[in-house]
Amino acid sequence: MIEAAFEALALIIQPSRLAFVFLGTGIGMVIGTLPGLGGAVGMAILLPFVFGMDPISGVALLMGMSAVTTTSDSFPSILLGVPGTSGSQATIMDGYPMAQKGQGSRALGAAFTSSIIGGVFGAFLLVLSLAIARPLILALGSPELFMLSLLGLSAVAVLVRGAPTSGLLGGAMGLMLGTIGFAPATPEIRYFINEWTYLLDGVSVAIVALALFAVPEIIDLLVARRSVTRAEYLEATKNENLTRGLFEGVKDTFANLSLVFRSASIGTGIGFAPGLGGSVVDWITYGAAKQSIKGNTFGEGDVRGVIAPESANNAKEGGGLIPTLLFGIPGSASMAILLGGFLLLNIQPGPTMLTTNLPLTLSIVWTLVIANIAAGLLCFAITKPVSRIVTIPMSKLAPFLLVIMTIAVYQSSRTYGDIGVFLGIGIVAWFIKQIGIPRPPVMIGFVLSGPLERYLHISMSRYGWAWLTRPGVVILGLVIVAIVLVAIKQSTTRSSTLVVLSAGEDVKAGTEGGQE
Amino acid sequence: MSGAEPADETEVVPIRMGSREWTRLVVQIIIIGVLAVALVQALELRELARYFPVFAASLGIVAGIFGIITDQIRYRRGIPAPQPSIGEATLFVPVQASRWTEAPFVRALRYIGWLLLIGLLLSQFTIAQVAPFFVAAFMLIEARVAWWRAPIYGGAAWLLVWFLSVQIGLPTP
Repeated sequence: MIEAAFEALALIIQPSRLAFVFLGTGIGMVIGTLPGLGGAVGMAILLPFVFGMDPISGVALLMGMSAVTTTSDSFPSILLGVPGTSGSQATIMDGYPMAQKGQGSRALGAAFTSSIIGGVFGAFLLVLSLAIARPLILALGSPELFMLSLLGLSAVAVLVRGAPTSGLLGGAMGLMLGTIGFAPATPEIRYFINEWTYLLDGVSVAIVALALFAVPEIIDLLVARRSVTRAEYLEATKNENLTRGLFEGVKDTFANLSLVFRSASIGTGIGFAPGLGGSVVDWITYGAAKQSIKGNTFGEGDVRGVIAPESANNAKEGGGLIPTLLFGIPGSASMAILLGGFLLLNIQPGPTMLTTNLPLTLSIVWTLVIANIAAGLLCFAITKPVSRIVTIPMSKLAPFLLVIMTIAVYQSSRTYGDIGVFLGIGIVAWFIKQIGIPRPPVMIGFVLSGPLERYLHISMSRYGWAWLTRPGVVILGLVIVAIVLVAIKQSTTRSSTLVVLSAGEDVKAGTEGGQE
Repeated sequence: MSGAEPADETEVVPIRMGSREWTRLVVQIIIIGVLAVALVQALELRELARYFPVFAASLGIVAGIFGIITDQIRYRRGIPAPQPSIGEATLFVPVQASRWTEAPFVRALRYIGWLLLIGLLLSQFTIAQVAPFFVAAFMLIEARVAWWRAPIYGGAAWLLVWFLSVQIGLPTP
């Protein structure tokens, strides 16, 4: 393992590949600072560009971007009370009050330092889990992998915000979208709408990802005229000594190292569980820190309220990679898109990631480490100029994003059909967002439709219906049924729903405070 | 305040079907209908190509029907329709629009129109021809920049396309 780790390091530090890590890191930082555009959107924008790249460079670009959006999202969260990504909602609770008190740079210093430590710690836990998971995953057969994929889809579908039945409906929509084109097991064309030959090869994952996540956010940001109050930001920070404040934040983090590691461990664990990552990781660690620290002033500008969620949301990337790499089960929307990227790069997640593709897997770990350190240091360096980016209204960014996205989707098959399908799915995605059908399950269903059908086909061919009686399959089946039933019951219970709503209202209050 | 809290928790005020709830219901029915058509079409396929779409469409139809039922239970218990999992929805946010053109739905349609416009233009012209005019027009109409700044943004868009297509070598539409 150690030899493979050094081999992977040698692969990733080649200048051309390191350049892709830094390119991804730079893009991820910009995307993280733009409110409403998170890792999933960034991943979707980059995905078409990895066509034709060598696997290590392509994954370095995607992971470099994905790993750092949760570092730079601290800028809008702390300075403006607007969550940069869904993983930085809880940072607002204490970061924004600190900024209002003129301690924004101290909060940023603490956020960046805890992000670096949390991200590296998450990567370390990923390596540990690889060693432990290796014998386990090699023992799994196609029936169990089918059920695990179904478990991943069900968990994400029922645990994302919203009604679980809507999540399942979204997941089924994604599965159906994935069945368009030639069937894998037989030469038959499915859903050959109007005999449009473009559909023969199915819809590209890059187009679906970009259409599902980027288009609805851009339309909504335009409709809401989302921009940030430059005057308010300047008012809150004009009297700050930037360097001294940042340094104080670094000191705060090192004074609370046990909190950093505790939160990062929770973050990695949550990232590992499909469907729990993203928007809940920061709230769970924030809540745990609030309960465990006596005499805290959480909610009024306590720096520990920044350290806890920021350590966790970077560490969760390492945890989220475990099921994605080892089982081919994405735990979140961005991991689903990353999984799509693997398919574009001809990388097959699963047991081979621990055998023939082990150097590639470890290169991902190194990318996480390098990207987290680079992003943290870069954030320190460019705090002042980058914070201005968040003041650009979407009406000025949108046309450029549209041009870039149009070129991006065109890389899929280089026909006009790419653009037509992109716009069509994007508009539908905006509609389903408005009525509360979650989009991550659609994406995960789409990405998993291929593996699910393949595992089901192999299971049926090899075992007939007898695969349904295998112990692992029965246990996983019961877990799926239990998760779905409990989630449906909870979604129709007033008390549990109100807790979620009140948490959301807190965020909204912070958000409104930072808007025009 | 503390005396009122228990009453608030036990008192259930059913939610009346508003525009968001009705739209959600109609869209769910449409999706179920589309899945039903897909299911019927899948049944005509050969066995090996059939079983997976049949499974997926059936799952969607069952989830959709359960969704409609659980929504009604939620509303009766005073629980609102779910919010988006990522970002914030704008369509049903009550706003005091000074003109009907400023209503969220109309504004959303306008931006969807811009999307369709770039799609339509690209069916006839190249991105290098379309991008400068599209960006300049968007900036002028939506971002309301000064007229003399719009061509500058258009030029920046052309430079962006040139960089991606010539310098990086990406195929462009």
